[in-house]
Amino acid sequence: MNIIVRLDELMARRKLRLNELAQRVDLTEANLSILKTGKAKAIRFSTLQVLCKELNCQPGDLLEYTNE
Amino acid sequence: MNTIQRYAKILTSMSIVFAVLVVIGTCAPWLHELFPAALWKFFPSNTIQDALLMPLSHRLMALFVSCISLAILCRGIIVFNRLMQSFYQGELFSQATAQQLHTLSKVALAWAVYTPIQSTLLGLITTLHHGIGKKMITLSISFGTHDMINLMVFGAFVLATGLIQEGSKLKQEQDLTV
Repeated sequence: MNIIVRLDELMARRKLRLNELAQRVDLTEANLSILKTGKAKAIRFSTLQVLCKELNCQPGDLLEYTNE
Repeated sequence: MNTIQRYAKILTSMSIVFAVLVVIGTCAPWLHELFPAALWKFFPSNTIQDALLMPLSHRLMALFVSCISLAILCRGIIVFNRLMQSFYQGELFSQATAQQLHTLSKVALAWAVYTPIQSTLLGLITTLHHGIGKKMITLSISFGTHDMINLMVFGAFVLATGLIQEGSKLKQEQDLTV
């Protein structure tokens, strides 16, 4: 897939665990894991919004497009 | 229990009763010695009269021909029950249910193709013991009768298979939307 999700990097920089982040953004760990492992087919604006708010970042920090 | 689960349960029970009745209905006319005479009034009188006059070897041939359609029907009922079981468990849009519907469509096609063949063969077998010139062979496929209804059922199952496959893809995407 050409879109890479940088959630694991952002979480590592902020020293956040998956369950911790899941609690803060009110998402299930399973859903966050789908996002983190790059299995997600789509992401809702509402999810992007809460993640950006919690991780204090821009959508572009979370998602990256590669031409490969 | 939602509406789909309730109907799935009812249809499963009905299909089992139907299967038992069909097995009896298929075997009884050709093996009438094994069944009580009281059962005969549920069959068309000409079927029973034909069967009573036929020698055992011809009746066994007729039973074999009838058993082929019975096997097709039983396969259909088994797959139908599995499909209802999936629906009862809340599994509506999945590859498994699409596969079961696909099998049902194949069963419906086999049924549609075999029904006129069976009528032809049974017509011949039930008149085999008649004298020369009185044996009968007919092949009838006509619009607006059971043959066309069977083909329409096949078409409906093919359409339902396509719908479930599309639904399955949508569900997969929905499941992977965060």
